[in-house]
Amino acid sequence: MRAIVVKELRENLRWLPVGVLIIGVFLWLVTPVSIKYGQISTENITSACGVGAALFAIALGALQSIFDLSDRQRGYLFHRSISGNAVMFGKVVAGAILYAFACAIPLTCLALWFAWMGPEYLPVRPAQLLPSVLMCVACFFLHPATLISVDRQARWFGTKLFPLVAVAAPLIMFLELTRGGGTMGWWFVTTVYVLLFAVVLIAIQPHHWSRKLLLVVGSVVTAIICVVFAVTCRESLKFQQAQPTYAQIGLDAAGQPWYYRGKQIREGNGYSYKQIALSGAPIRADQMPNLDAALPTNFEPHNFSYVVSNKTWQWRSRFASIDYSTQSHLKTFYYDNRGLALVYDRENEPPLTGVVSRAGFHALGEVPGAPFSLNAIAFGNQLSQPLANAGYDSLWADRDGVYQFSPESGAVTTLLNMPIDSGTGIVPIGGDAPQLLLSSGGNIHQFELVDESGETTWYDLDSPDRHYAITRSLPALKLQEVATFPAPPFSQSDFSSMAVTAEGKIVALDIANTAYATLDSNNASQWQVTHFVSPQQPVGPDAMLMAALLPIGLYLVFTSFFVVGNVMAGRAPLTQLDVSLPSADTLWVLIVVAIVAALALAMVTNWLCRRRGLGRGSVVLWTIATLILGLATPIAVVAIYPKLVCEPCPDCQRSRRIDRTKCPHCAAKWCSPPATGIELLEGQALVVGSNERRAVTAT
Amino acid sequence: MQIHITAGSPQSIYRQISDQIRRLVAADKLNVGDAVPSVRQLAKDLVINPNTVAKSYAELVRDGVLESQQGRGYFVARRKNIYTKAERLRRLDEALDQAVGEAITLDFTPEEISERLQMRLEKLLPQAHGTK
Amino acid sequence: MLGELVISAQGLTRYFGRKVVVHDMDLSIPRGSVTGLLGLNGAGKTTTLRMLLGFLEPTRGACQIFGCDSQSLTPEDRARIGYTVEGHFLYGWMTVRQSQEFQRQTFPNLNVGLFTETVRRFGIDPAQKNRTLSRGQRAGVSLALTLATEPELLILDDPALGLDPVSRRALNETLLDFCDGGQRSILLSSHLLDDVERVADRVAVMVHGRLLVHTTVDDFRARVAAWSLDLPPASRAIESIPGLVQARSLGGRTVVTVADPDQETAAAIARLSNSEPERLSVTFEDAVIAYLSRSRDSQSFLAHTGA
Repeated sequence: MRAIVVKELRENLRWLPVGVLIIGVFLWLVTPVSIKYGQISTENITSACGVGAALFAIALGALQSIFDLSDRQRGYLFHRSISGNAVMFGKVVAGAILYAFACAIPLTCLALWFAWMGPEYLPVRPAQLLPSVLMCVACFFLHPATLISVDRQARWFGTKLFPLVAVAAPLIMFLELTRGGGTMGWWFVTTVYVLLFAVVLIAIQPHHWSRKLLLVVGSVVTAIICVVFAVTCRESLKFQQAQPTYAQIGLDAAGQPWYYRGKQIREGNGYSYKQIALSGAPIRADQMPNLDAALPTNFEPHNFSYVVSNKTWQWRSRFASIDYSTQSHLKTFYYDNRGLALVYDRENEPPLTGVVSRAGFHALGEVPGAPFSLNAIAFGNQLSQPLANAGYDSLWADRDGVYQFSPESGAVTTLLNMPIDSGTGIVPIGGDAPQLLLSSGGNIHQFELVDESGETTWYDLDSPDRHYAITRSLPALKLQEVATFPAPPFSQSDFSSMAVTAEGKIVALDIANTAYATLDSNNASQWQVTHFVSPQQPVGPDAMLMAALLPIGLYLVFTSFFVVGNVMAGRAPLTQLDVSLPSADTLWVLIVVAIVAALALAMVTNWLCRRRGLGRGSVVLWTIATLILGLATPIAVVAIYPKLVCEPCPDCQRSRRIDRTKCPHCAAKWCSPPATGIELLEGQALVVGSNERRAVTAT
Repeated sequence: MQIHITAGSPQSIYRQISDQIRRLVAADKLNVGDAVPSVRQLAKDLVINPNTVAKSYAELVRDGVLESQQGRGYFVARRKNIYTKAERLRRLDEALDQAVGEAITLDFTPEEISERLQMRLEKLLPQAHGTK
Repeated sequence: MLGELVISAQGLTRYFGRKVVVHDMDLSIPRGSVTGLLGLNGAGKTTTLRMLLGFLEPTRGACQIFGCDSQSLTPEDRARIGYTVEGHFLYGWMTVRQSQEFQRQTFPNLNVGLFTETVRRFGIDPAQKNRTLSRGQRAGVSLALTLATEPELLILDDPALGLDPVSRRALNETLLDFCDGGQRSILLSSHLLDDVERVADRVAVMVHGRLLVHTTVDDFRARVAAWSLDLPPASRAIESIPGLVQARSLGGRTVVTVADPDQETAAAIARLSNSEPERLSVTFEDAVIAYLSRSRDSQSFLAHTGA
């Protein structure tokens, strides 16, 4: 085994620089770009590292095994007094060593760079590269999978595809764990899928190079076209006004909750959305509202604000993720998990100017004050959503209070010193300034955000000089308590969202959308709970998510049928592609079409498998695989299994397979080809018959 | 003892070996009781398969040219006739037919041929000739 | 009759696509024999050897080495088999000595003395890189590596391909030394008929994937005969000769090669010839070539050599 390892190392050492280059380039693509915009994300580094490492692992595995497909090299290497598995294991060990260096060199350089730059320049520690290291370790399993796939002859389903599927599945799960999904993850999934498919195709027997090449190129091109097409559609649709409709709950001007079907449109400069209601009905007790009823003219829904809790994981500093950051006035603030916010000023040298604690800004070298008890930037940002929507700086908040931070002066003003469990920011219907509803110890405290003169008129939702990248400064604010009341008495203790009406009534919606409660804050009397029947929420698949989960092949079929389905449902085809929650009809059409398409494909696969003469087990497995892997499966079957060759049976003249000993029709064995009369075999003498010569064994 | 073999000749290799040993014995280059090289040695010297040598020796033993002594190797045997008179005549005729046929095609007169034959007999078998 | 078998095959058949490369081959090779496997390029020799060593699955049929199915040879079985691939593949970046070390680490016991001796016979410096070796030297290293593992059975795929006369002689000597004790066996494919005649005691001829000849060299020679007929070339009439292997025209006459001639054959030949047919002597090479020419033009018995 040691001999194999040494030999493989010596032979493949030349690929090490290539590996360093691939992984290095991917890291380079992510890192300096992030730094330019003042943000560096461990998530992005992990993804980039993963793509580079996966590519290298597959390439290395292929390079280590593809030459052994030649008869001579195979005969020389495998005819030894060591088992084939030992040879394979040796190759994997050698691959692991090379791969480790290929990953370690760029990552070490990056870590050294981080360390050399220091926290004054970059808000990352070298230790934050650990997720990337884990990613590299995980991606290495593609190497033996490739090795096995290239080496093995496909005889039954599992031997060819199973190693790759088995590796790809946990890898994708790992990826989802280390990062929160998003477009990058989708790209990664696509990349991995395409690569895996390509590897499967490369692994076909060495006789059909042209077909193999065609399939690899074809599948990669198809995949790229699909991805480009899907992303283009998505991006272009983002900037069109058309949005899908879906059911939601809102209040009318009088504070009456309505169930309505509405859509969101971009308005103004395109950075904010506006709800438009199309149809719906008021919510009455114990009734199911008719979603399709006509609305009164000038009906304008006001939406509820979601209540955020301090328990959510998002406010904790996660190991594998970027610390929450916010940007304003060319400064970037990172929440450091010691409870302080680091301030990076891009115009300063070095960029790290100091830290912010609950006591205010401290330049480097000063002793900071008390730390925040949560990621104050993130939690405050969520609490003061109305401020963010209007482009203002956000308030900061943690478990112990609400703070106003002035980016210019660096001063931190404590607006409220009170334990906070959860809360939300709300602009009352027809109101002029946002309010904070903060839940603390079973009670809800209602605050108005007022300026120093006690007025709420400072709030200005849409300012013409607003810029998407630079936030507006807040005036010096105060929290003025309006009322205190108990939490709404829902059966489940949580409530999902709240709103404040023009008359100052509070409306709370329970988390299951089956009850709402109203309370007149001026009287601070009891909550009035109304139960209602919620129409079935049509929850549809996100087209992009499906694209990520379903392989490219099925996605193509899916998309085309999807368009057809939409046309059948009476909608313009393309405008519906970005559907998050399609209507129930569309969804049904969609599901039916998808199932029909999948079943049709499965039937095609089944037919192909039987034509290729696979065993019953393999046929069933491949057919089931079609439902999961889509169009890739029949292509793989065609590519992997050789054509079935039949010849007429010498006995019954019917067509029979050449690789079976017995004829399925007459159970005859193959007989030797007719003697030519010139066979010279030992121990056999030729005797002369009447006209023909027959070989008989001499006795 | 000098034996040459040629691959690709009309005579098979084992026949070439046995013919040459026969000739050597007939010409008294090998005397009764002389040892011939072992099968392995001869095969090695000639770069041929030992089985071929073994086969040729086996034929020579069968024809009474050589005799095998257990564990010691092969030796030239005392001459004894194992063929009947008729068989010997038939074999002689066969050999002469071939030689005479060849000679006729080369345009030699019968006198020339018999003179030539006589010369060869004297050279190859001096003592036999003398006793006659 | 054949003693203990080292190689056997029953109905061994292999297709590549629709083309049958090895067709229904029955093979029995006894211990202690040197078998020359002859055939034109593409006759199925390499495919047969690859199936024997378990590197290729037969389409149907089976083959065994030492009685063990070729598809499931264990490392211990492989240690008893020496195999050199066509063209004597070696890793070019290794030196001869490194190749020896690689072999030593992957086989249970390597006879270093034998290796050194064989390498010396081919005139090779052990410090040389494999890629700088000549073809003959590479064959020497390859052979030395294989022989030094002291196998019981040697399977050589065209070992003499492209070798100079000196290397060929060294190869033949090495092979004969190898099977000195009579217990070791060799199966080699080759195109060099003279060498096969010298070294082999058994011959197997493959034509179009079929094993037409498999017997001892002497038996083979004894059973093939040739006549020169006074018959115009390209006459279809000769196809009636029983056991006709090949017919070719030579100086206005037709030369026929037949297998296992008997009275019926002689009678048929006498009938066809306008004058007395002339019996020709057949060399080993003639006999093999008669079989191999047949595969060139299997549709007709007439090989158009002279015409």
